[in-house]
Amino acid sequence: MSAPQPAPGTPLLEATGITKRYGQYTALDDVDLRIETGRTVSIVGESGSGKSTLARIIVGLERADSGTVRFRGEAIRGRRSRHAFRRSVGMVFQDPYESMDPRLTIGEIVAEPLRAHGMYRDGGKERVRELLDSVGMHGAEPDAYPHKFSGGQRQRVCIARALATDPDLVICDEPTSALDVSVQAQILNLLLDLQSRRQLAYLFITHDLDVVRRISDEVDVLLRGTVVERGTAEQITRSPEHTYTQRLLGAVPAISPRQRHIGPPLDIDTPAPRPPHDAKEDPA
Amino acid sequence: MSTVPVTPPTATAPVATAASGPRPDQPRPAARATARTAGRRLWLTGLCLLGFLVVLALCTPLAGSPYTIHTDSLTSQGLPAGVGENGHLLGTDAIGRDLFARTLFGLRATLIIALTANLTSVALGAVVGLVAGFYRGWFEQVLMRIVDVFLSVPTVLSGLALASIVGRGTTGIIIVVTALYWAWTARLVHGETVRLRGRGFVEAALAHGVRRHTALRRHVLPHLSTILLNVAALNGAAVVVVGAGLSYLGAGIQPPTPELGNMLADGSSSMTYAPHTLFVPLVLVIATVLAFVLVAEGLNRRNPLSERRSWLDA
Repeated sequence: MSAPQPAPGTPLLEATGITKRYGQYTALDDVDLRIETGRTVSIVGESGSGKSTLARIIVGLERADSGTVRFRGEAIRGRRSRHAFRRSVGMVFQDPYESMDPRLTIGEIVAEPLRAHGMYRDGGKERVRELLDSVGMHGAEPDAYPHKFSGGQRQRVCIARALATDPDLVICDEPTSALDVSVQAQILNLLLDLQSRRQLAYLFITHDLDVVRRISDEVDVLLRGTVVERGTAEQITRSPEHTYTQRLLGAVPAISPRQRHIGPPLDIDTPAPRPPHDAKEDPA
Repeated sequence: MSTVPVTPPTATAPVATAASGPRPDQPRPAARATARTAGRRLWLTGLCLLGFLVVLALCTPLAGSPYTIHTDSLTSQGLPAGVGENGHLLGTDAIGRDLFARTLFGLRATLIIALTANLTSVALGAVVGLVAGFYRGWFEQVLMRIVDVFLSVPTVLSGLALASIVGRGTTGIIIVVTALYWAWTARLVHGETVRLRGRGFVEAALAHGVRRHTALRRHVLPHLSTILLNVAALNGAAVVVVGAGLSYLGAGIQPPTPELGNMLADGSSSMTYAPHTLFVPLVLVIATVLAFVLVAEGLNRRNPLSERRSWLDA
Protein backbone atom coordinates (compact mmCIF):
# COMPACT_ATOMS: atom_id res chain seq x y z
CA MET A 1 0.00 0.00 0.00
CA SER A 2 2.57 2.54 1.08
CA ALA A 3 5.97 3.17 -0.43
CA PRO A 4 8.62 0.49 0.05
CA GLN A 5 9.93 0.55 3.58
CA PRO A 6 13.19 2.47 3.89
CA ALA A 7 16.20 1.00 5.58
CA PRO A 8 15.84 0.74 9.34
CA GLY A 9 17.28 3.69 11.16
CA THR A 10 16.18 6.16 8.51
CA PRO A 11 14.43 9.05 10.19
CA LEU A 12 10.90 9.98 9.15
CA LEU A 13 12.01 13.42 8.12
CA GLU A 14 15.50 14.67 7.68
CA ALA A 15 16.50 18.13 6.60
CA THR A 16 20.14 18.85 5.92
CA GLY A 17 21.96 22.07 5.28
CA ILE A 18 18.89 24.26 4.91
CA THR A 19 19.94 27.79 4.08
CA LYS A 20 17.65 30.67 3.25
CA ARG A 21 18.56 34.28 2.62
CA TYR A 22 16.33 37.26 2.07
CA GLY A 23 18.62 39.72 0.36
CA GLN A 24 21.44 40.36 2.83
CA TYR A 25 19.60 38.83 5.72
CA THR A 26 20.25 35.19 6.47
CA ALA A 27 17.10 33.65 7.88
CA LEU A 28 18.45 30.12 8.09
CA ASP A 29 22.08 29.13 7.97
CA ASP A 30 22.89 25.48 7.33
CA VAL A 31 20.21 24.04 9.59
CA ASP A 32 19.83 20.28 10.09
CA LEU A 33 16.77 18.58 11.49
CA ARG A 34 15.79 14.99 12.21
CA ILE A 35 12.41 13.69 13.22
CA GLU A 36 11.82 10.06 14.11
CA THR A 37 8.48 8.35 13.71
CA GLY A 38 6.07 9.11 16.53
CA ARG A 39 8.36 11.62 18.21
CA THR A 40 7.98 15.32 18.84
CA VAL A 41 10.71 17.71 17.92
CA SER A 42 10.32 21.28 19.06
CA ILE A 43 12.03 24.25 17.57
CA VAL A 44 12.28 27.15 19.94
CA GLY A 45 13.64 30.60 19.49
CA GLU A 46 12.64 34.20 19.62
CA SER A 47 10.79 36.07 16.88
CA GLY A 48 12.81 36.29 13.73
CA SER A 49 15.01 33.34 14.56
CA GLY A 50 13.82 31.48 11.48
CA LYS A 51 11.51 28.95 13.12
CA SER A 52 8.54 29.52 10.85
CA THR A 53 10.70 29.81 7.76
CA LEU A 54 12.08 26.36 8.46
CA ALA A 55 8.57 24.92 8.73
CA ARG A 56 7.51 26.66 5.54
CA ILE A 57 10.52 25.34 3.68
CA ILE A 58 9.90 21.80 4.83
CA VAL A 59 6.32 21.86 3.63
CA GLY A 60 7.32 23.58 0.40
CA LEU A 61 5.63 26.94 0.83
CA GLU A 62 9.00 28.51 0.43
CA ARG A 63 12.07 27.37 -1.41
CA ALA A 64 15.40 27.03 0.36
CA ASP A 65 18.48 28.48 -1.26
CA SER A 66 20.28 25.24 -0.53
CA GLY A 67 19.82 22.05 1.42
CA THR A 68 17.60 19.01 1.05
CA VAL A 69 14.57 17.66 2.80
CA ARG A 70 14.22 13.89 2.88
CA PHE A 71 11.07 12.08 3.86
CA ARG A 72 11.55 8.42 4.71
CA GLY A 73 14.93 8.69 3.09
CA GLU A 74 13.72 10.08 -0.20
CA ALA A 75 14.58 13.60 -1.20
CA ILE A 76 11.63 15.84 -1.93
CA ARG A 77 12.40 17.34 -5.25
CA GLY A 78 9.99 18.46 -7.90
CA ARG A 79 6.26 18.84 -8.01
CA ARG A 80 5.27 15.19 -7.91
CA SER A 81 7.28 14.18 -4.87
CA ARG A 82 6.17 17.30 -3.04
CA HIS A 83 2.54 16.49 -3.71
CA ALA A 84 3.04 12.95 -2.45
CA PHE A 85 4.87 14.27 0.59
CA ARG A 86 2.04 16.63 1.42
CA ARG A 87 -0.27 13.68 1.71
CA SER A 88 1.86 12.36 4.56
CA VAL A 89 2.15 15.70 6.27
CA GLY A 90 -0.41 17.92 7.92
CA MET A 91 0.07 21.44 9.05
CA VAL A 92 -1.52 23.51 11.80
CA PHE A 93 -0.97 27.22 11.58
CA GLN A 94 -0.68 29.87 14.20
CA ASP A 95 -3.81 31.88 13.52
CA PRO A 96 -7.02 29.85 13.26
CA TYR A 97 -8.84 32.94 12.03
CA GLU A 98 -6.50 33.40 9.14
CA SER A 99 -5.92 29.84 8.07
CA MET A 100 -9.54 29.01 7.16
CA ASP A 101 -11.33 30.38 4.14
CA PRO A 102 -14.39 32.18 5.56
CA ARG A 103 -16.39 31.29 2.46
CA LEU A 104 -16.03 27.56 2.95
CA THR A 105 -17.90 25.47 5.49
CA ILE A 106 -15.85 23.64 8.08
CA GLY A 107 -16.79 20.39 6.36
CA GLU A 108 -15.35 21.67 3.10
CA ILE A 109 -12.26 22.88 4.90
CA VAL A 110 -11.61 19.51 6.51
CA ALA A 111 -12.36 17.75 3.22
CA GLU A 112 -9.93 19.88 1.28
CA PRO A 113 -6.82 17.72 1.74
CA LEU A 114 -8.93 14.63 0.99
CA ARG A 115 -10.09 16.15 -2.27
CA ALA A 116 -6.59 17.29 -3.15
CA HIS A 117 -5.34 13.72 -2.91
CA GLY A 118 -8.32 12.03 -4.50
CA MET A 119 -9.46 10.47 -1.24
CA TYR A 120 -12.82 12.15 -0.92
CA ARG A 121 -14.87 10.15 -3.33
CA ASP A 122 -15.33 7.04 -1.25
CA GLY A 123 -16.63 7.82 2.18
CA GLY A 124 -15.36 11.38 2.33
CA LYS A 125 -18.39 12.68 4.15
CA GLU A 126 -18.19 10.06 6.88
CA ARG A 127 -14.47 10.65 7.10
CA VAL A 128 -15.03 14.38 7.69
CA ARG A 129 -17.53 13.63 10.47
CA GLU A 130 -15.15 11.15 12.00
CA LEU A 131 -12.32 13.68 11.89
CA LEU A 132 -14.43 16.37 13.51
CA ASP A 133 -15.42 13.92 16.23
CA SER A 134 -11.81 12.90 16.78
CA VAL A 135 -10.79 16.47 17.54
CA GLY A 136 -13.61 16.90 20.01
CA MET A 137 -15.98 18.75 17.71
CA HIS A 138 -18.87 16.38 18.37
CA GLY A 139 -22.14 17.68 17.14
CA ALA A 140 -20.55 20.41 15.05
CA GLU A 141 -22.40 20.76 11.78
CA PRO A 142 -20.04 20.28 8.84
CA ASP A 143 -22.24 22.78 7.00
CA ALA A 144 -21.48 25.57 9.47
CA TYR A 145 -19.17 28.39 8.53
CA PRO A 146 -16.00 29.13 10.51
CA HIS A 147 -17.21 32.47 11.83
CA LYS A 148 -19.60 30.62 14.10
CA PHE A 149 -16.78 29.08 16.08
CA SER A 150 -14.39 30.33 18.71
CA GLY A 151 -10.64 30.41 18.28
CA GLY A 152 -10.17 27.11 20.10
CA GLN A 153 -12.88 25.40 18.09
CA ARG A 154 -11.41 26.74 14.88
CA GLN A 155 -8.02 25.41 15.83
CA ARG A 156 -9.63 22.02 16.40
CA VAL A 157 -11.05 22.17 12.90
CA CYS A 158 -7.59 23.07 11.62
CA ILE A 159 -6.19 20.04 13.41
CA ALA A 160 -8.89 17.90 11.82
CA ARG A 161 -7.83 19.22 8.43
CA ALA A 162 -4.19 18.47 9.19
CA LEU A 163 -5.13 14.89 10.08
CA ALA A 164 -7.45 14.35 7.12
CA THR A 165 -5.07 12.36 4.95
CA ASP A 166 -3.90 10.32 7.94
CA PRO A 167 -0.39 11.80 7.93
CA ASP A 168 2.68 10.55 9.76
CA LEU A 169 3.94 14.01 10.53
CA VAL A 170 2.11 17.13 11.61
CA ILE A 171 3.88 20.45 11.53
CA CYS A 172 2.50 22.79 14.15
CA ASP A 173 3.54 26.39 13.67
CA GLU A 174 2.80 27.99 17.03
CA PRO A 175 -0.63 26.37 17.20
CA THR A 176 -1.43 27.73 20.63
CA SER A 177 0.03 31.21 20.64
CA ALA A 178 -3.10 32.89 19.26
CA LEU A 179 -5.35 31.23 21.84
CA ASP A 180 -6.46 31.92 25.39
CA VAL A 181 -4.38 30.26 28.06
CA SER A 182 -7.17 27.91 29.11
CA VAL A 183 -7.79 26.89 25.53
CA GLN A 184 -4.07 26.42 24.93
CA ALA A 185 -4.03 23.58 27.43
CA GLN A 186 -7.00 21.89 25.77
CA ILE A 187 -5.38 22.07 22.37
CA LEU A 188 -2.11 20.70 23.70
CA ASN A 189 -3.94 17.84 25.40
CA LEU A 190 -5.74 17.12 22.16
CA LEU A 191 -2.46 17.04 20.25
CA LEU A 192 -0.88 14.71 22.80
CA ASP A 193 -3.93 12.50 22.77
CA LEU A 194 -3.93 12.29 18.99
CA GLN A 195 -0.24 11.50 18.99
CA SER A 196 -0.68 8.53 21.26
CA ARG A 197 -3.62 7.26 19.24
CA ARG A 198 -2.18 7.72 15.77
CA GLN A 199 1.59 7.36 16.12
CA LEU A 200 2.07 10.92 14.90
CA ALA A 201 5.34 12.74 14.76
CA TYR A 202 5.19 16.44 15.49
CA LEU A 203 7.40 19.24 14.40
CA PHE A 204 6.47 21.84 16.92
CA ILE A 205 7.42 25.46 16.35
CA THR A 206 7.01 27.60 19.40
CA HIS A 207 8.51 30.25 21.58
CA ASP A 208 6.65 29.04 24.63
CA LEU A 209 8.96 26.96 26.78
CA ASP A 210 6.18 25.67 28.97
CA VAL A 211 4.67 24.13 25.88
CA VAL A 212 8.06 22.68 24.98
CA ARG A 213 8.37 21.06 28.37
CA ARG A 214 4.90 19.54 28.05
CA ILE A 215 5.07 18.14 24.60
CA SER A 216 8.52 17.53 23.21
CA ASP A 217 10.94 14.68 23.09
CA GLU A 218 13.71 16.68 21.50
CA VAL A 219 14.34 20.39 21.32
CA ASP A 220 16.32 22.44 18.84
CA VAL A 221 17.15 25.95 19.96
CA LEU A 222 17.33 28.29 17.02
CA LEU A 223 19.08 31.64 17.21
CA ARG A 224 19.29 33.88 14.18
CA GLY A 225 19.07 31.04 11.73
CA THR A 226 21.45 28.59 13.38
CA VAL A 227 20.81 25.76 15.80
CA VAL A 228 22.74 26.70 18.90
CA GLU A 229 21.69 23.83 21.10
CA ARG A 230 20.03 20.49 20.62
CA GLY A 231 18.97 17.93 23.14
CA THR A 232 16.13 16.17 24.87
CA ALA A 233 13.46 18.32 26.42
CA GLU A 234 14.75 17.24 29.82
CA GLN A 235 18.31 18.33 29.09
CA ILE A 236 17.35 21.61 27.58
CA THR A 237 14.98 22.68 30.29
CA ARG A 238 16.98 21.36 33.27
CA SER A 239 20.55 22.08 32.29
CA PRO A 240 20.80 24.30 29.27
CA GLU A 241 24.35 24.73 28.07
CA HIS A 242 24.20 27.62 25.67
CA THR A 243 23.88 31.09 27.16
CA TYR A 244 21.05 31.88 24.84
CA THR A 245 19.04 28.88 26.01
CA GLN A 246 19.66 29.84 29.61
CA ARG A 247 18.40 33.33 28.95
CA LEU A 248 15.43 32.00 27.05
CA LEU A 249 14.51 29.81 30.01
CA GLY A 250 15.12 32.65 32.42
CA ALA A 251 12.63 34.77 30.55
CA VAL A 252 9.77 32.36 31.22
CA PRO A 253 7.34 33.96 33.64
CA ALA A 254 7.28 32.16 36.95
CA ILE A 255 4.60 32.03 39.57
CA SER A 256 6.76 33.73 42.17
CA PRO A 257 8.92 36.70 41.21
CA ARG A 258 11.72 35.15 43.20
CA GLN A 259 11.83 32.21 40.82
CA ARG A 260 12.27 34.49 37.87
CA HIS A 261 15.79 35.30 36.81
CA ILE A 262 15.89 37.43 33.78
CA GLY A 263 19.52 38.06 32.98
CA PRO A 264 21.09 41.16 31.59
CA PRO A 265 20.17 41.96 27.99
CA LEU A 266 21.26 39.39 25.47
CA ASP A 267 24.01 39.82 22.90
CA ILE A 268 27.05 39.63 25.12
CA ASP A 269 28.59 36.58 23.60
CA THR A 270 26.51 36.26 20.44
CA PRO A 271 27.26 38.06 17.23
CA ALA A 272 25.02 41.01 16.44
CA PRO A 273 22.33 40.60 13.84
CA ARG A 274 23.20 41.69 10.36
CA PRO A 275 20.80 44.30 9.12
CA PRO A 276 22.15 45.64 5.83
CA HIS A 277 22.28 49.34 6.73
CA ASP A 278 24.29 48.64 9.88
CA ALA A 279 26.77 46.67 7.88
CA LYS A 280 27.26 49.57 5.52
CA GLU A 281 27.70 52.16 8.25
CA ASP A 282 30.25 50.06 10.08
CA PRO A 283 33.70 51.39 9.06
CA ALA A 284 35.29 47.99 9.60
CA MET B 1 -41.64 24.84 36.21
CA SER B 2 -42.88 26.00 32.91
CA THR B 3 -45.45 28.49 34.13
CA VAL B 4 -44.65 31.79 32.61
CA PRO B 5 -45.46 34.76 34.79
CA VAL B 6 -48.01 36.85 32.96
CA THR B 7 -46.92 40.42 33.03
CA PRO B 8 -48.03 43.18 30.71
CA PRO B 9 -45.44 43.55 28.00
CA THR B 10 -45.48 47.32 28.38
CA ALA B 11 -44.19 46.91 31.90
CA THR B 12 -41.41 44.44 31.14
CA ALA B 13 -40.02 45.91 27.99
CA PRO B 14 -38.34 49.01 29.42
CA VAL B 15 -37.00 47.05 32.37
CA ALA B 16 -35.43 44.50 30.10
CA THR B 17 -33.64 47.12 28.02
CA ALA B 18 -32.49 48.93 31.12
CA ALA B 19 -31.10 45.72 32.56
CA SER B 20 -29.11 44.81 29.47
CA GLY B 21 -27.88 48.38 29.14
CA PRO B 22 -26.80 50.15 26.00
CA ARG B 23 -24.26 47.86 24.39
CA PRO B 24 -21.45 49.79 22.76
CA ASP B 25 -21.77 47.84 19.53
CA GLN B 26 -25.48 48.47 19.15
CA PRO B 27 -25.50 51.56 16.95
CA ARG B 28 -23.11 49.99 14.51
CA PRO B 29 -25.25 47.17 13.11
CA ALA B 30 -28.11 49.61 12.82
CA ALA B 31 -26.00 52.11 10.92
CA ARG B 32 -24.70 49.34 8.74
CA ALA B 33 -28.21 48.15 8.04
CA THR B 34 -29.26 51.62 6.89
CA ALA B 35 -26.21 51.86 4.71
CA ARG B 36 -27.14 48.49 3.28
CA THR B 37 -30.70 49.38 2.49
CA ALA B 38 -29.57 52.71 1.03
CA GLY B 39 -27.05 50.87 -1.07
CA ARG B 40 -29.61 48.33 -2.12
CA ARG B 41 -32.00 51.11 -3.17
CA LEU B 42 -29.23 52.63 -5.25
CA TRP B 43 -28.14 49.57 -7.14
CA LEU B 44 -31.72 48.43 -7.60
CA THR B 45 -32.56 51.81 -9.12
CA GLY B 46 -29.57 51.57 -11.39
CA LEU B 47 -30.42 48.04 -12.37
CA CYS B 48 -34.04 48.98 -13.11
CA LEU B 49 -32.89 51.91 -15.21
CA LEU B 50 -30.49 49.69 -17.10
CA GLY B 51 -33.21 47.06 -17.53
CA PHE B 52 -35.61 49.68 -18.83
CA LEU B 53 -33.05 50.88 -21.37
CA VAL B 54 -32.37 47.32 -22.50
CA VAL B 55 -36.09 46.66 -22.93
CA LEU B 56 -36.40 49.92 -24.83
CA ALA B 57 -33.58 48.85 -27.10
CA LEU B 58 -35.15 45.42 -27.58
CA CYS B 59 -38.36 47.15 -28.67
CA THR B 60 -36.58 48.48 -31.74
CA PRO B 61 -38.37 46.18 -34.21
CA LEU B 62 -41.72 47.48 -32.91
CA ALA B 63 -40.71 50.94 -34.00
CA GLY B 64 -40.48 49.50 -37.48
CA SER B 65 -43.08 50.23 -40.06
CA PRO B 66 -44.29 53.80 -39.71
CA TYR B 67 -41.05 54.99 -38.23
CA THR B 68 -38.25 53.95 -40.49
CA ILE B 69 -34.76 55.00 -39.79
CA HIS B 70 -33.53 55.64 -43.28
CA THR B 71 -36.55 57.34 -44.91
CA ASP B 72 -35.71 60.97 -45.24
CA SER B 73 -38.07 63.61 -46.51
CA LEU B 74 -37.47 67.09 -47.85
CA THR B 75 -40.81 68.30 -46.52
CA SER B 76 -40.46 67.09 -42.94
CA GLN B 77 -37.00 68.21 -41.87
CA GLY B 78 -36.42 69.03 -38.22
CA LEU B 79 -40.02 68.57 -37.20
CA PRO B 80 -40.54 69.13 -33.46
CA ALA B 81 -41.72 66.37 -31.18
CA GLY B 82 -45.45 65.90 -31.12
CA VAL B 83 -47.74 63.00 -30.40
CA GLY B 84 -49.80 61.80 -33.32
CA GLU B 85 -49.10 64.76 -35.59
CA ASN B 86 -47.72 63.47 -38.88
CA GLY B 87 -46.80 60.24 -37.15
CA HIS B 88 -43.42 61.30 -35.68
CA LEU B 89 -43.44 60.76 -31.92
CA LEU B 90 -40.17 62.59 -31.33
CA GLY B 91 -40.18 64.63 -34.49
CA THR B 92 -37.59 64.26 -37.21
CA ASP B 93 -33.92 65.07 -37.58
CA ALA B 94 -32.23 67.53 -39.90
CA ILE B 95 -32.89 65.51 -43.01
CA GLY B 96 -36.36 64.38 -42.11
CA ARG B 97 -35.72 60.93 -40.58
CA ASP B 98 -37.91 59.83 -37.69
CA LEU B 99 -36.03 60.53 -34.48
CA PHE B 100 -37.88 58.01 -32.30
CA ALA B 101 -36.94 55.08 -34.49
CA ARG B 102 -33.39 56.31 -34.88
CA THR B 103 -33.00 56.80 -31.15
CA LEU B 104 -34.13 53.26 -30.40
CA PHE B 105 -31.77 51.81 -32.99
CA GLY B 106 -29.02 54.06 -31.74
CA LEU B 107 -29.61 52.98 -28.14
CA ARG B 108 -29.46 49.36 -29.21
CA ALA B 109 -26.15 49.88 -30.97
CA THR B 110 -24.72 51.75 -27.99
CA LEU B 111 -25.87 49.13 -25.48
CA ILE B 112 -24.57 46.25 -27.56
CA ILE B 113 -21.17 47.91 -27.74
CA ALA B 114 -21.12 48.94 -24.09
CA LEU B 115 -22.27 45.63 -22.62
CA THR B 116 -20.06 43.49 -24.83
CA ALA B 117 -16.99 45.67 -24.50
CA ASN B 118 -17.53 45.84 -20.76
CA LEU B 119 -17.71 42.08 -20.50
CA THR B 120 -14.67 41.47 -22.70
CA SER B 121 -12.51 44.11 -21.07
CA VAL B 122 -13.34 43.02 -17.52
CA ALA B 123 -12.90 39.36 -18.41
CA LEU B 124 -9.57 39.92 -20.13
CA GLY B 125 -8.35 42.15 -17.34
CA ALA B 126 -9.45 39.67 -14.68
CA VAL B 127 -7.70 36.74 -16.33
CA VAL B 128 -4.46 38.67 -16.83
CA GLY B 129 -4.58 40.08 -13.30
CA LEU B 130 -5.30 36.69 -11.73
CA VAL B 131 -2.62 34.84 -13.65
CA ALA B 132 -0.01 37.53 -13.07
CA GLY B 133 -0.87 37.93 -9.40
CA PHE B 134 -1.22 34.28 -8.50
CA TYR B 135 1.52 32.51 -10.38
CA ARG B 136 4.03 35.36 -10.06
CA GLY B 137 7.40 34.71 -11.65
CA TRP B 138 8.86 36.41 -14.69
CA PHE B 139 5.66 36.55 -16.68
CA GLU B 140 4.03 38.55 -13.91
CA GLN B 141 6.61 41.20 -14.73
CA VAL B 142 5.99 40.87 -18.46
CA LEU B 143 2.21 41.02 -18.13
CA MET B 144 2.19 43.92 -15.73
CA ARG B 145 4.58 45.96 -17.88
CA ILE B 146 2.22 45.39 -20.80
CA VAL B 147 -0.59 46.61 -18.52
CA ASP B 148 1.47 49.69 -17.70
CA VAL B 149 1.87 50.42 -21.38
CA PHE B 150 -1.86 50.20 -21.94
CA LEU B 151 -2.55 52.36 -18.90
CA SER B 152 -0.21 55.06 -20.09
CA VAL B 153 -1.68 55.69 -23.55
CA PRO B 154 -4.21 58.52 -23.86
CA THR B 155 -7.66 57.00 -24.28
CA VAL B 156 -9.30 59.01 -27.05
CA LEU B 157 -6.26 59.56 -29.23
CA SER B 158 -5.15 55.96 -29.21
CA GLY B 159 -8.78 54.94 -29.64
CA LEU B 160 -8.99 56.94 -32.84
CA ALA B 161 -5.70 55.49 -34.05
CA LEU B 162 -6.73 51.94 -33.18
CA ALA B 163 -10.12 52.34 -34.83
CA SER B 164 -8.43 53.28 -38.08
CA ILE B 165 -6.58 49.96 -37.93
CA VAL B 166 -9.21 47.48 -36.77
CA GLY B 167 -12.13 48.98 -38.68
CA ARG B 168 -15.21 50.94 -37.76
CA GLY B 169 -18.01 48.42 -37.40
CA THR B 170 -19.52 47.19 -34.14
CA THR B 171 -16.85 44.52 -33.76
CA GLY B 172 -14.12 47.03 -34.45
CA ILE B 173 -15.27 49.42 -31.79
CA ILE B 174 -15.70 46.64 -29.26
CA ILE B 175 -12.09 45.59 -29.88
CA VAL B 176 -10.92 49.18 -29.54
CA VAL B 177 -12.77 49.79 -26.28
CA THR B 178 -11.61 46.46 -24.86
CA ALA B 179 -8.02 47.31 -25.72
CA LEU B 180 -8.41 50.69 -24.03
CA TYR B 181 -9.97 49.43 -20.81
CA TRP B 182 -8.83 45.92 -19.91
CA ALA B 183 -5.67 47.15 -18.24
CA TRP B 184 -7.55 48.98 -15.48
CA THR B 185 -9.26 45.81 -14.36
CA ALA B 186 -6.02 43.87 -14.74
CA ARG B 187 -4.13 46.16 -12.42
CA LEU B 188 -6.81 46.09 -9.75
CA VAL B 189 -7.32 42.34 -9.89
CA HIS B 190 -3.57 41.81 -9.85
CA GLY B 191 -3.19 43.76 -6.64
CA GLU B 192 -6.05 41.96 -4.95
CA THR B 193 -4.78 38.58 -6.09
CA VAL B 194 -1.32 39.24 -4.71
CA ARG B 195 -2.92 40.18 -1.41
CA LEU B 196 -5.14 37.10 -1.33
CA ARG B 197 -2.34 34.77 -2.34
CA GLY B 198 -0.46 35.65 0.81
CA ARG B 199 -3.46 34.97 3.00
CA GLY B 200 -3.22 32.15 5.49
CA PHE B 201 -6.08 30.10 4.08
CA VAL B 202 -4.52 29.99 0.61
CA GLU B 203 -1.20 28.89 2.06
CA ALA B 204 -2.94 26.35 4.27
CA ALA B 205 -4.64 24.89 1.21
CA LEU B 206 -1.36 24.72 -0.71
CA ALA B 207 0.43 23.16 2.26
CA HIS B 208 -2.15 20.38 2.31
CA GLY B 209 -1.59 19.51 -1.31
CA VAL B 210 -4.30 21.54 -3.03
CA ARG B 211 -3.03 22.31 -6.50
CA ARG B 212 -2.39 25.88 -7.40
CA HIS B 213 -5.09 26.30 -9.99
CA THR B 214 -7.61 24.68 -7.64
CA ALA B 215 -6.60 27.07 -4.88
CA LEU B 216 -6.96 29.93 -7.34
CA ARG B 217 -10.46 28.85 -8.28
CA ARG B 218 -11.63 27.92 -4.81
CA HIS B 219 -9.94 30.45 -2.55
CA VAL B 220 -9.02 33.48 -4.62
CA LEU B 221 -11.69 33.91 -7.26
CA PRO B 222 -14.69 33.87 -4.85
CA HIS B 223 -13.10 36.64 -2.82
CA LEU B 224 -12.77 38.71 -5.96
CA SER B 225 -16.44 38.52 -6.94
CA THR B 226 -17.33 41.70 -5.06
CA ILE B 227 -14.53 43.64 -6.62
CA LEU B 228 -15.18 42.30 -10.10
CA LEU B 229 -18.82 43.31 -9.88
CA ASN B 230 -17.88 46.80 -8.78
CA VAL B 231 -15.29 47.08 -11.49
CA ALA B 232 -17.76 45.90 -14.12
CA ALA B 233 -20.27 48.54 -13.10
CA LEU B 234 -17.77 51.40 -13.07
CA ASN B 235 -16.06 50.16 -16.19
CA GLY B 236 -19.47 49.99 -17.87
CA ALA B 237 -20.05 53.69 -17.33
CA ALA B 238 -16.69 54.56 -18.81
CA VAL B 239 -17.18 52.22 -21.75
CA VAL B 240 -20.53 53.81 -22.68
CA VAL B 241 -18.92 57.22 -22.84
CA VAL B 242 -15.91 56.10 -24.84
CA GLY B 243 -17.93 53.92 -27.22
CA ALA B 244 -20.36 56.76 -27.97
CA GLY B 245 -17.48 59.24 -27.97
CA LEU B 246 -15.60 57.39 -30.68
CA SER B 247 -18.75 57.33 -32.83
CA TYR B 248 -19.22 61.01 -32.13
CA LEU B 249 -15.73 61.65 -33.43
CA GLY B 250 -16.47 59.60 -36.53
CA ALA B 251 -14.30 56.63 -35.59
CA GLY B 252 -17.09 54.29 -34.53
CA ILE B 253 -20.42 53.44 -36.11
CA GLN B 254 -20.69 55.28 -39.41
CA PRO B 255 -23.47 57.81 -40.14
CA PRO B 256 -26.32 56.18 -41.98
CA THR B 257 -26.49 53.60 -39.17
CA PRO B 258 -27.73 55.33 -36.03
CA GLU B 259 -25.76 55.14 -32.81
CA LEU B 260 -26.17 57.53 -29.91
CA GLY B 261 -22.71 58.94 -30.47
CA ASN B 262 -23.09 59.80 -34.12
CA MET B 263 -26.64 61.01 -33.45
CA LEU B 264 -25.12 63.46 -30.99
CA ALA B 265 -22.79 64.61 -33.73
CA ASP B 266 -25.75 65.08 -36.09
CA GLY B 267 -27.75 66.81 -33.39
CA SER B 268 -25.00 69.22 -32.48
CA SER B 269 -24.99 70.55 -36.05
CA SER B 270 -28.76 71.05 -36.11
CA MET B 271 -29.30 72.11 -32.52
CA THR B 272 -29.98 75.74 -33.42
CA TYR B 273 -33.25 74.99 -35.21
CA ALA B 274 -34.06 71.50 -33.92
CA PRO B 275 -32.64 71.17 -30.38
CA HIS B 276 -34.48 67.90 -29.71
CA THR B 277 -32.16 66.17 -32.21
CA LEU B 278 -29.36 66.78 -29.71
CA PHE B 279 -31.24 66.35 -26.47
CA VAL B 280 -32.94 63.02 -27.10
CA PRO B 281 -29.74 61.03 -27.69
CA LEU B 282 -27.98 63.05 -24.99
CA VAL B 283 -30.57 62.11 -22.38
CA LEU B 284 -30.22 58.45 -23.28
CA VAL B 285 -26.42 58.51 -23.04
CA ILE B 286 -26.66 60.19 -19.67
CA ALA B 287 -29.31 57.69 -18.52
CA THR B 288 -27.11 54.74 -19.54
CA VAL B 289 -24.06 56.12 -17.76
CA LEU B 290 -26.17 56.97 -14.73
CA ALA B 291 -27.54 53.45 -14.59
CA PHE B 292 -24.03 51.97 -14.43
CA VAL B 293 -22.85 54.52 -11.89
CA LEU B 294 -25.85 53.88 -9.65
CA VAL B 295 -25.23 50.15 -9.72
CA ALA B 296 -21.56 50.71 -8.92
CA GLU B 297 -22.29 53.10 -6.09
CA GLY B 298 -24.97 50.87 -4.63
CA LEU B 299 -22.74 47.81 -4.80
CA ASN B 300 -20.05 49.77 -3.11
CA ARG B 301 -22.27 50.36 -0.13
CA ARG B 302 -23.70 46.92 0.01
CA ASN B 303 -22.59 43.77 -1.64
CA PRO B 304 -25.71 41.86 -2.67
CA LEU B 305 -23.99 38.66 -3.70
CA SER B 306 -22.51 37.66 -0.41
CA GLU B 307 -24.83 37.83 2.54
CA ARG B 308 -22.01 36.41 4.60
CA ARG B 309 -20.11 39.61 4.94
CA SER B 310 -17.38 38.60 7.30
CA TRP B 311 -14.38 40.05 9.02
CA LEU B 312 -12.51 39.37 5.83
CA ASP B 313 -14.32 42.04 3.86
CA ALA B 314 -14.23 44.65 6.58
